[in-house]
Amino acid sequence: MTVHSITATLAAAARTIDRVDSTYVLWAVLALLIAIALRETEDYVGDRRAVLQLLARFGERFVQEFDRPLVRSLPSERVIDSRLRFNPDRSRVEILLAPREGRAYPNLADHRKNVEYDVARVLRLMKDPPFIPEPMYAQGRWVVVPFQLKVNPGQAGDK
Amino acid sequence: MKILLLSTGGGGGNILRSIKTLFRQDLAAVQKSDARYAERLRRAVATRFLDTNEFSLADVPVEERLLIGAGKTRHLGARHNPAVAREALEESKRDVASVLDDYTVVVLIGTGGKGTGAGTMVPLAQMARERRKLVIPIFVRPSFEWHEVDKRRYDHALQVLDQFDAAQIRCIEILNDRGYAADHPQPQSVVWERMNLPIARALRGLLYVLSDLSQVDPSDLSALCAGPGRYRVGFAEIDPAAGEEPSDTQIEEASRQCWENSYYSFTKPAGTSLVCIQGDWSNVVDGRIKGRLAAMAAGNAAESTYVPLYARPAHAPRPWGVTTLFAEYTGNHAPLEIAWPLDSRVSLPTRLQSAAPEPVPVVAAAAAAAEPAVPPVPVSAPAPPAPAARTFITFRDLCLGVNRLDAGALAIAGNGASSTIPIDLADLRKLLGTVWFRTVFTHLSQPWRDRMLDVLLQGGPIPNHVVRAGRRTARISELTHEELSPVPLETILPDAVRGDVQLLIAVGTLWGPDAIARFTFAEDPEEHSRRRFSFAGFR
Repeated sequence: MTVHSITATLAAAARTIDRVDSTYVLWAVLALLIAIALRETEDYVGDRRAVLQLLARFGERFVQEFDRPLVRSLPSERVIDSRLRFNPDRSRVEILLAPREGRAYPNLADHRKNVEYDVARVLRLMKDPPFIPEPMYAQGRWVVVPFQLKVNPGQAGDK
Repeated sequence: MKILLLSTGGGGGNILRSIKTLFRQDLAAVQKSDARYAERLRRAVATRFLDTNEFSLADVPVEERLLIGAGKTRHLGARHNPAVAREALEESKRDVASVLDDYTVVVLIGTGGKGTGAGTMVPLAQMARERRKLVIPIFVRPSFEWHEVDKRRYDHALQVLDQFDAAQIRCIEILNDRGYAADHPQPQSVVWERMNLPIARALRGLLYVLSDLSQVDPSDLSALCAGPGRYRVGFAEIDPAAGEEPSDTQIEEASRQCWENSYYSFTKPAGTSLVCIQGDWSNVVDGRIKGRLAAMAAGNAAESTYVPLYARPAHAPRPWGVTTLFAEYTGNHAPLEIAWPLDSRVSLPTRLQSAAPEPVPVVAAAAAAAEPAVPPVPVSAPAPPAPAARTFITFRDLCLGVNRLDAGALAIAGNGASSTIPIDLADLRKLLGTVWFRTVFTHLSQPWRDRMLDVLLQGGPIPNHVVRAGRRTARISELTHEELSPVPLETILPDAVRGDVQLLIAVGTLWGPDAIARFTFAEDPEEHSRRRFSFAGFR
């Protein structure tokens, strides 16, 4: 192929592009962008769901073990109130615990040392989960125990 | 039969002091209606306070102190460390064992708060079990919510309870948390009294059952105590006006009081349980009490696991009431091997006998041996023979009468030659399997003994079972009485084999080892069928 023939081919291609409606090009670019965005969103939502699952599972197990040794009338009876507050973007979960009516534990006013001991006990029993406890605080009737996930969900064995 | 109340540690000691005071109050009430009965009750129960700290026993009579671990703790306490307490017990094991050996039933009391109680409860219970005692541990789970202990020590108490479960030792678990009611506050002394009263009052019922094992078989009591789980003790006083029956309200209230005791942990359905009813009222009242208790114990379950063992003393002195010992159903377990004493029982006389006109001072042999310092206790002499022969229709009836020291029954027992009471082989075999019958046997004349042995010998040959005796396997006909005796204790035998072996042991014990040789033995049918399908014939 000579230089002349190459030049002729490029010129023909340019003439063809010239003839394509620019609208199609724009649609194609948009479709490509949407596909990329969808893929990114899917990854994000997947990761977020995995983190949420991990946080929720940890929170539920924590509450269960925290509650287990407390005195109760029936084995199935729950003697503490609990809530979980998630921040999956920061891989953080806050476990809120409060005594049920007629009970005194847990609270930070006169049981701070016992709650600290119990948090350490539960973590020990859960065989060192990938969570780091942060300083706890009181919020109304609740004791808030925050935890930060220290590795990504994939490393933590999830997903 | 003697009961030892043994506390361990400071908390256990406090409970024992409380129980002792309450039991004394109960005795004082009994004393008013039947002084001799009260004296016997007093003698049947002993208390000992075990501790590592000499100072905490300062107010305890010297003879009731049981200090352990002189080398390990210098009697200054276990420093709130259960491991130190365990080592102290190990050091003084021999002293403790010698105390346990004098008793059949050991009620062990301790708390899980600090060192000595938490560290020694399970080892002590195991020691008593090894010595074939009936052990009833009472363990207090302290409250951390109300700041009796911190959470760490509370969790340690839970570990002790897990150890009881793992060792298959049933216990009474007292929940101190239940003693605090924010909406209805009470002084601590009131709460403690409420917690401990059922235990103190239940002792009278338990003593009755243990001293008259003709009503509840020892094997049933052993089954009640077998396996892990919890007990719940209940007591309710029923005090109807003289000559009147308790009202329905009184019965309902008493049954409820016995069943509902929130201080004791009890989360599973009731299994084999003991109900002792004490009061001179009609059998209709008994039936109503039993019915209410059964309804509450069974609950709404489709298949009830509740198996009540009833005991009913005739003419019990006031205060009257109902004593219950409910056991959680935790499955079927092999009965425990308990060394029930044969000769050292402290039998509780009924009021009718104690009201005999001319009491003669006698010292109860067992009590005298154990407590020589106690002055002789007057026991009524048997009344002259009464024309009661017609009331003993069967040989078992007669034996029950002898066991009650009924004058008519004793007269017949002393003269077997002319009696027409028939001896049924099946009844006799059952009687020989009971502990209380061995005391009855001593009252039976030689003609009675000969008749009994004849009935057994004429009952046909005994299957010649193959059993394991020590390291060898042998047929029962080849074993001496001495070799047979440990067989039921050391090996698990099928019921049929166990029954035959125990029969031979009983015969050897009562009639002498030579009597066993008079039995004829037949080939064991099971062994025969096994051999038919084995290759032995081809050898």
